[in-house]
Amino acid sequence: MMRYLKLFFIILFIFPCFALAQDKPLRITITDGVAEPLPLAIPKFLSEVIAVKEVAKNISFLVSEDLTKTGLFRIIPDDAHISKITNFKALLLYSDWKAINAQGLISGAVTITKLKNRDCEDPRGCLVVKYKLFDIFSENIISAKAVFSEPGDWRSIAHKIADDIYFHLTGEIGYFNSKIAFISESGMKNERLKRLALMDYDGANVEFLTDQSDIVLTPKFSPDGSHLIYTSFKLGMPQVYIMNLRTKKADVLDERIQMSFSPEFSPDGNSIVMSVVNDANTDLYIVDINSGIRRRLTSGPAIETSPSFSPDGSKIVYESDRSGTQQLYVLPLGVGEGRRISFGGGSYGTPVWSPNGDLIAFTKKSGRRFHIGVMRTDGSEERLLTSSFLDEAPTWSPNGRVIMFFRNKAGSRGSSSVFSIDISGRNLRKIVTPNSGSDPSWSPLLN
Amino acid sequence: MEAFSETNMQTGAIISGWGHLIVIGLAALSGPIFEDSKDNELSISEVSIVSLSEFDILQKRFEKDFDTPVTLINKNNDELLDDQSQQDNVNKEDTENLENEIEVDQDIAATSTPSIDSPELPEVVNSTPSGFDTNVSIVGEDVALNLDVPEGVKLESPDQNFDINVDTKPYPKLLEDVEKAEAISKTNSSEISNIEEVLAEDNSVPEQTITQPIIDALIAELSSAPMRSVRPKGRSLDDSILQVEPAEQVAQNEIIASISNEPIQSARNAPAGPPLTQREKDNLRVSVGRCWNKTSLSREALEVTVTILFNMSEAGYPESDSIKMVDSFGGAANATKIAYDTARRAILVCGRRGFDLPEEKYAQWKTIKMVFDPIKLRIK
Repeated sequence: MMRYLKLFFIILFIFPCFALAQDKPLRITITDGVAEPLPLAIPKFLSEVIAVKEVAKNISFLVSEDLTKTGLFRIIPDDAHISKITNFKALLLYSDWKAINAQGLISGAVTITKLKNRDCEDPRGCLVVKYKLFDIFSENIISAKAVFSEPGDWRSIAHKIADDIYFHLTGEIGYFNSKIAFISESGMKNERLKRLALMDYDGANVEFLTDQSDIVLTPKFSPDGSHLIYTSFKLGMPQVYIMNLRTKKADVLDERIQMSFSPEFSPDGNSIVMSVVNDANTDLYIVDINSGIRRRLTSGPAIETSPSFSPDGSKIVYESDRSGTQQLYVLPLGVGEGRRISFGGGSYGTPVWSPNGDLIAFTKKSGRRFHIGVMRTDGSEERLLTSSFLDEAPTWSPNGRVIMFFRNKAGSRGSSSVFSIDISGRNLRKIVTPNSGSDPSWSPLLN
Repeated sequence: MEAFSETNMQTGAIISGWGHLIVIGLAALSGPIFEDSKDNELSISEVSIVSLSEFDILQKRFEKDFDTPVTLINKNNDELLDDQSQQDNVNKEDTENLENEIEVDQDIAATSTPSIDSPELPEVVNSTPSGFDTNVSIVGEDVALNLDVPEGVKLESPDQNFDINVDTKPYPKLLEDVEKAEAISKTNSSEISNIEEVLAEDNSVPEQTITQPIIDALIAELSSAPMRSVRPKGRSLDDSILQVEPAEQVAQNEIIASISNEPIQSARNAPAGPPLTQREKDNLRVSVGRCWNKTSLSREALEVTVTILFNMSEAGYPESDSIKMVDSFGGAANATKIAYDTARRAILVCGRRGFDLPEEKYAQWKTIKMVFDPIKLRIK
């Protein structure tokens, strides 16, 4: 009897201890991580017909370029690969890619073929790129797609693939298949020739939209990317023009207005906010594109300009010198007056609301330096990302991760160039353009 | 005159009607005919994107319609099945459609498809070590005995004549770990000083110059490595209990087993041991944190805290199949998915060489709940 009782007590004692030890998992909280580019492997895409051998190489190279330029990814060189991709459909030897610490792998195959639901002008058919994105350590496929277009559009195809990969690895949309409108400049500083131009986000495929006869400034894309608005001195004074990008035809937005500049589309694309000069006073007006009805948004002796809509269209941020120096103000549309949000030392200008709605990018002049910075929409948490002789005119990437702006060098010959920087303040990159470039404006993501 | 006039009007109306019809017909068939010249138009290309399975279906239908054979891609049964099995991970439904379209002979395919997962190795080598299967454990030990090399022992490569020193420690960069550990938990300064002492000992080992042949050899070794642990397996707790404990206690264990109504596995028989020290927890925290890469996280994903539960093998490796998210907050579904993927990757990438955990306390860490809180990583 005693023996059983003893056993019972032992069980009574041991079992809860055992259960406690076994059933409660070890809990670890991790708050610190690292900020390193994610290593990816992108072997050369396979060509399924000889005619596309070079294109296949170019596409895989451009996908690598796109991803590398973000600063978020590092491409493992081909000569470090242990196994080679020789068949697009073959299963992957994950261990070979783990060994070189590739955390993602993109394999692709390129061909030209005729498609049922898509006519391509090339008699051979459409250029088709099939690709797969593998998560090496989880040993699964994250994305498997086919992209097709005209054979001449291989760059767009590559950008589209990079966008998809970027989306699946970061969770936010990419920005590679997008355009930049900018002012292409040539000549001395005091007699610059300026042309409206368009290029891919990486500086490729530059296309001029106007000739050098008139000064043009501050282009901005419509929300659907089909139109550009900009300021032109065609008639000797600044006026806002709107250009259809399909036909490349431009018209004055409102002929009744003598002097207008610094335009910006509303998020729904139905109206435009801009600065209008009336009796030597510059105020903000909003113009309905369809009806032509104008509404004055600000009044007073100060110069109010550089308006930018919040993504929901309910507010406008702009610059005004009503306090004596240029500062940023936020104006709720329909109610109230502009409220100042910038209080740091120096002056602020060219504010642009981020696509996500949480930040405002701006130009700041402090002492003899210009900066590009970001702040919360209430003016808090100001962070300066750049510093130089002259940095100006920020524009947001479609995903709100990158800011593009232009930088001017000192001196009468000093040229201006377009740069991009991550909003973390890292990864400053110069966009190579044929001539000097200024006033960049980032399009929405195409297609 | 009136009749003539009426006839004339009718004829005019008919001609006019036909003329209009022809113009409308032409416009409908060949597009707008009065549009401006397209010479000035900006060429904006249309790039289409579809899933691979959808694309394959499209192609199949097209080829069927035009009765043309598949010439660009060799689609033998093996390849089709390979593709199919991979597509399963992406979109099972689509794959099923594709399967129907291409009418794969499953029987033929199943028998002819080679096993890609280490066909040369015994089956047990590929299975995730659970610590519950005696046979698996034995094989694992054999593998470990064959492949594990004591620290500092020189190996000769069968292919090339050069010597390599294999460092069996899982994390050679512990110094960084300690620095991070200090940042994480300053309250444990005494324990961290202990770590520093250990590190000082580690640092006393003379540095070795890593040459390309050594790197190649290491890469080759890694690439040919078995899928399971080559670390010395944890102490066989069953054996030790049987050897050192009296028969009565073994009987008690059996009673516990019958009460719990679960098969008692070797690890479960193990004494739980003392809880992990703060230093041991910090080591694990730092080890995983080193692979938790915030760079590629979207700003929204940086707002998400995920809690992940996973099992560890006795050899100190995370069991990838067991990793699951048990909690999350702070973001939408897509951001949560990315946050989870990144956390999972951190566990797997840094866990591939095993975590440095005390074997005698396996019962304490065989299941780990890890909270990934990116509070310090956010872009402000």
